Amino acid sequence: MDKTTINHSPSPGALASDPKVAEPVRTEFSWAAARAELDGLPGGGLNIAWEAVDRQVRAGRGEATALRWLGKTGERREFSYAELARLSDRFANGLERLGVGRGDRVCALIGRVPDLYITALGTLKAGAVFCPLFSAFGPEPVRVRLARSRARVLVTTTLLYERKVRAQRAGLPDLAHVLLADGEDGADVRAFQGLLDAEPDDRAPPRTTAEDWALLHFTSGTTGLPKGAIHVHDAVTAHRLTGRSILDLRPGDVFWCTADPGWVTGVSYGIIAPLTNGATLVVDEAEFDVRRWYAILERERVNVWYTAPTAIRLLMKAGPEPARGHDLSALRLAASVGEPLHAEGVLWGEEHLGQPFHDTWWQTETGAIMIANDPGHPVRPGSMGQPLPGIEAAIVRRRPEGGVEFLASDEEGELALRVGWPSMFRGYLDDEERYRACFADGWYLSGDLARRDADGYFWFVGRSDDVIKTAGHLIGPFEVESVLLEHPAVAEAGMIGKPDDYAGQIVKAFVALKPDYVASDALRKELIGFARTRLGPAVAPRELEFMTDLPKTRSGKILRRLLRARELGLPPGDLSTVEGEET
Amino acid sequence: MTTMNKEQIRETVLRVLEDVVPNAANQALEPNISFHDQLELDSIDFLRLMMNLEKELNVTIFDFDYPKLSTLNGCENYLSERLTLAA
Repeated sequence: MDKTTINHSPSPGALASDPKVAEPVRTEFSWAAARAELDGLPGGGLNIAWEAVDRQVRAGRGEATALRWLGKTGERREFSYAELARLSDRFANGLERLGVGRGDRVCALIGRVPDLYITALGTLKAGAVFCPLFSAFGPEPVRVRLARSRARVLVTTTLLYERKVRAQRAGLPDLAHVLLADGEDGADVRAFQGLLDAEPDDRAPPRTTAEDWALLHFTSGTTGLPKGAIHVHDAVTAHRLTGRSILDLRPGDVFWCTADPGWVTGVSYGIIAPLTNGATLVVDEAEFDVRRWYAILERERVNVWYTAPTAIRLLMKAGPEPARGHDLSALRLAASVGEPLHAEGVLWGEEHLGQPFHDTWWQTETGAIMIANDPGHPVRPGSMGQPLPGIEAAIVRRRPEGGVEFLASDEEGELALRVGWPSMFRGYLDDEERYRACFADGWYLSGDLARRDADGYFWFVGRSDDVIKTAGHLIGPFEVESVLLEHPAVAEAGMIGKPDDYAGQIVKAFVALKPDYVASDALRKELIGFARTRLGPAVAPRELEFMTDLPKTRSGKILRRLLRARELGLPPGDLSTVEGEET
Repeated sequence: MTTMNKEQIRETVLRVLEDVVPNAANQALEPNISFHDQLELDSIDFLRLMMNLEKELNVTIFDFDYPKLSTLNGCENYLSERLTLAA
């Protein structure tokens, strides 16, 4: 484990001597010290779920509320740390009975219900790998992720199973068990509750090591199928630390993370960080609703709130009226993640919620917050903040011959992080080549373009590739375009992110038709509908435009850069490079 | 402003809905079950539906009233009330 330790001694090293690399904030920081604050397993080793729940029980906090669940229709259930420990033990026992164990993937395709949290924690205790799937994915993204993860178990609901999985089951030979949270035992499914009921609620401590695989999060790139980023149990070191240092979580705090556990934030900060810090996690099953959200903040006496720019923009759109009259005095810290939050959003929080939003930056691959406006410093509105203790960040340019060069303050370049923090992804599943391509000279290259100001604050500029962020969700063009190309009318398809006042960007598709087809409003709707049915609302294009030909390189690669320029009414740039653009 | 009867409002809602969620047309909508549950409308779809309805019917829908419009019947009732008030 020591190989990931970074000790920021002030002694001159390559980094300390390079003035272009951001100085760590606290020089005495070490990951070894952060790790020492965890309990570890009784027999040695490390396990995320053990640190999250059993550790609290052992510390005499078993009766404290771990999870407060608010159902769509007004239902309310609380789970103590002791109950979560027991239920997750049962699920781990159940998995073991099914022959599922170390390294096996357990996927969850389910809304924000208690069984999801039991599944995540139980899977980790069993030594298996928890892989969440966003429930708003359509059948195609679900199939691709189940197949690529080679999932052995899927926890879902009857409705989601019928809509998105059942018809494709034959093509998923590894998927041995489907557990329905609301269903009964059937020919090819089992009742989740039945599995729990049959098991004892105690269990020997897990036997995982810090470097055992724990989490698998799918993310997207410009090309190819989604990538499964692998995280290990040692990630909990960063989850716990950042929960405390950036989200200021203390035992007994009420914490609300609005992110869905179908994405990395909803797991790292929607499950692990609050529980490892002894907080009470509020989970709302319902979708965004202005009045409901203010009511939750007030009624649940939320102390720390972690939400996203899309939600903040929707609150801003609703104006100050719905906030009025709500007592938000319990709120001590508000933070944002998912995409950059503009300065107006930060300041709106201060004015109307009594707290500015602290923007935070991280990625699926980084596993935990890396750069943030931390509670110990004044918020710099519109900025990503500063690198956390233990994180070294730089703005770099990739050299054509390999390696990177460091850029000076205020120069735009790619944001890079020095390798070595515990929640760094350990691979893309079955894709060593793409994993290796993320690193150069001992730095992780994030694909995000940014600049650092003279005070050491980072400012987001854009992406270096063609992925887009819509409502905080990362979408890659390949999934969208390849589904459109399955339609008999479509000859070519290209996807871009079109700026949107609320979602940040929306997916917009450009399509060239085959010779026998004529562009029409009916066909436009048919294609969007076709894509929605397969991809689901989170991924499918919301807008679609026909073109006679899509701009391409000589080798036929769609030039999305030109599609974006066209959409924004910008000059297309230097067209002389078009034919040479092959990367 | 011309007043619309409920039937006309319903037709308008369905037309706007079909533009936001084009695969909605293929499905028989239950008037009292939410669009979200039937058509998997997400927050952004729903926002586009609300904003397009405002534009189409020239009416203001308050953000905090959005939940009242989560079903077809809800839309019909709310919009007919708003249009009557505006008339």
